Amino acid sequence: MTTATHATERGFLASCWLSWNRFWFNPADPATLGLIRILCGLAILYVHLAYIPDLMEFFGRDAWLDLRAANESRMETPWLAPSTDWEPARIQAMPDDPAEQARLQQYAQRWGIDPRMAHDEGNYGWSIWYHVTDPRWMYVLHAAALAIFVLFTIGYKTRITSVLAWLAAMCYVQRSPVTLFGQDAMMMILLLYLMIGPSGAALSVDRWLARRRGEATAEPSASANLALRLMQVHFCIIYATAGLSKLLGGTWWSGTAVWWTLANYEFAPLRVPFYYSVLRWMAEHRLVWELVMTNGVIFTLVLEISFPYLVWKRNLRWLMVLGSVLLHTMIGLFMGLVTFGLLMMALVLSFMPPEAVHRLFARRGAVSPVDGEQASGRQAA
Amino acid sequence: MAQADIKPVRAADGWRSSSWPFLLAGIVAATLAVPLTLADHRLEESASAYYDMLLGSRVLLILLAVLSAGTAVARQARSALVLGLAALILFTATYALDTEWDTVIVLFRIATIVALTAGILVLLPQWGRHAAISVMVLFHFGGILTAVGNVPSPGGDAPWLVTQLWARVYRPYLQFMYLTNAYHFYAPDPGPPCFLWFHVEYADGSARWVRIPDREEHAKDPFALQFYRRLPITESTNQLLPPMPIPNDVALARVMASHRDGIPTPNEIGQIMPAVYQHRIPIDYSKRLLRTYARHVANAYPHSDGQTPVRGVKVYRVVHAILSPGEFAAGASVVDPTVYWPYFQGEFDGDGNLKNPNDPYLYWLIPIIKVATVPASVPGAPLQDAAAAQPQQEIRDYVAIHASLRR
Repeated sequence: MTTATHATERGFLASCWLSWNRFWFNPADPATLGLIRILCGLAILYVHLAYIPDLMEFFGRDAWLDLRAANESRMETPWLAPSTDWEPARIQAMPDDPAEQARLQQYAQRWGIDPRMAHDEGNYGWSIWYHVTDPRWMYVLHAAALAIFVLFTIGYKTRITSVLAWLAAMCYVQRSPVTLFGQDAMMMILLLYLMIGPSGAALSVDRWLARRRGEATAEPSASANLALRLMQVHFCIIYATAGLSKLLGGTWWSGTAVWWTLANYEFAPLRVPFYYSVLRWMAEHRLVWELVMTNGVIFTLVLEISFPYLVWKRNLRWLMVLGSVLLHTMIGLFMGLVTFGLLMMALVLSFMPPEAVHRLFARRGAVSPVDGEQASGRQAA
Repeated sequence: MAQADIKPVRAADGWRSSSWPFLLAGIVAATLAVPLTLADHRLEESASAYYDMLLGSRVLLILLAVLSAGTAVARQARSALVLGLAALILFTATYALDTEWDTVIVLFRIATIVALTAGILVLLPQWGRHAAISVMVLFHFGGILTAVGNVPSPGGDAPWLVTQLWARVYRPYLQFMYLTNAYHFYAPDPGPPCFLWFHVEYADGSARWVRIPDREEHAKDPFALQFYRRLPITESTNQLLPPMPIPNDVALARVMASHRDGIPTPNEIGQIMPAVYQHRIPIDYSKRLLRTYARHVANAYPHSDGQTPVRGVKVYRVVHAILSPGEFAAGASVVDPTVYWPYFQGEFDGDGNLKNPNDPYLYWLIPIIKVATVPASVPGAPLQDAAAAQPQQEIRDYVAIHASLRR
């Protein structure tokens, strides 16, 4: 290898490292993060307010997944690892000790396998609701969690309340896995990244207090960029997976998948007479039906599969983000999953440039609440 | 680590900007809480009246310690000394917790490790910090991709490497952070929703139905979140073994029970659904959940007199079939009773034990179907009227019949 080759290689690696650094660590304006925090905070507040009537039914001692079953699951669930060679795991002989035999049999009866074949037992879930089961204290803690979510949403002491919000939300998620759906996964993703970045540095009470103290404007920071990049990459993985996994389904290939969501009585607004009559009219006119369903499928698949690579093209970004907002508005309207849609929209906002956030708020006043600067001045700059 | 590492505090700011008062408070609170734990345990043994007071004090001290550590870090997150002392406070606090609070102990220990790692990170030069964070980012997304890939394709397996990574590397991290979702939304195909119907029988012979989710009862908030929260509960019992040939003895027992109880045999329902789809066995996970759900219902829906015990809970997993566009165009109703397909999941006692694992109806479809009925002829009516009488159809709810069976 010649010296010239060495130099070229070093140049290539150095340029890769620089690009990587620029992508993850270039300082970014925290305005977008502030807007995401507000949207996410509102959704989370609603989600946890809706828990009030169901607190005991979902998290109490005698919940649907009661404490006994939850504890068994988190302490004993067997986890099998595939064999490291071509041979399947061998069944082992029973031990001589009768007590040990009884334990193994009891476990096998409960979990369906010999515990000695398990790679690990139990889950790594954690929650205050495993330990606090007295209804009075549960309501006190729930009220405290709601207060945390309010403070987080308005951006007060956000460095602390963002961590507390993540911890509090996680307690609910970990205790009652049988009541979760996609919305909860999105909620925890957002809270995680909002905790990493300075989500209270803009559009927050913290910023307002800082301004009153005469502190400078919210400075761009590497952690704001890191948090936004984490959201963006994670969002792309979600879309790519959601899109590609649909390609395994027959209804997505036949172009009928959208029908099975639009005509699903539990999700779609079939109780609304207008919606019902439109759906029936479409079903009576096959060509119209096929056009709508097939285009719905194409729109979903094209958007989900192409988003992860087209969104990085500056001139197509707005189109991709708009498509995503449209998709989640549809999901909210026709499948009833409003909070899920709201959280997905909060996540896709990570692609919104901070200048757009400044412009958005500048229209509502001469002084941007984002950082207190004259918005028009910032735009000019 | 040097004292200069701590951000200098301006005189005008005073204690309000310094992290030291919080660190001191945290250290004192955590240190005081540990001996209280020991005293508490001794008092517990002698059932002392001071036990509750000491327990309350300990909880308050732990809360104070953790919040103080958090506030100190929030104020001076770039100080390795502050992060190190916060880690010390959290570590000490784990010894002030009872062993029954194991999940919180795990949380505190992880928080200790995070604080220590952050303390090391801030000591690194910028390139080193960026390199370390880059490794963490790669690990994190490696985990996300592992969760995404650890789903077997229909009829296949998940990739071997991914399953190894999941089992041996990532599972603790992903479970702890709740990042286990595979994001296969509505894939491979959107399916019909599922309900659970419980028939609760009391010792005095009375009974009641509990159906979840029920839109009237559970969709009171504007976005019907309470309703949607219950759909995963029912869906969790809808994880089934693939359809497989039904063993002869199982099929025979079902036919004999049908003849005895007046419930259609699998062959008689065969024109609606092939027999192989009439018998769907849930996976072990779903079976375990059925037990806790039955227990919950027995507990949450006591007899109206509050005394009479629950004798049994019959559980039905009910698939609400979605109408095809052709049926929709023909004017079929989306809530017609016949589009609900109930599968019997067993009868449980109040403690969630399956009463009869050899029940001939276990995991079988118990149909709600339309049956043809011929109008009864009126004696003396003209012959041509009887010939013109069209066969009528009525809905026969065999679930109601099955639920009322007792043996």
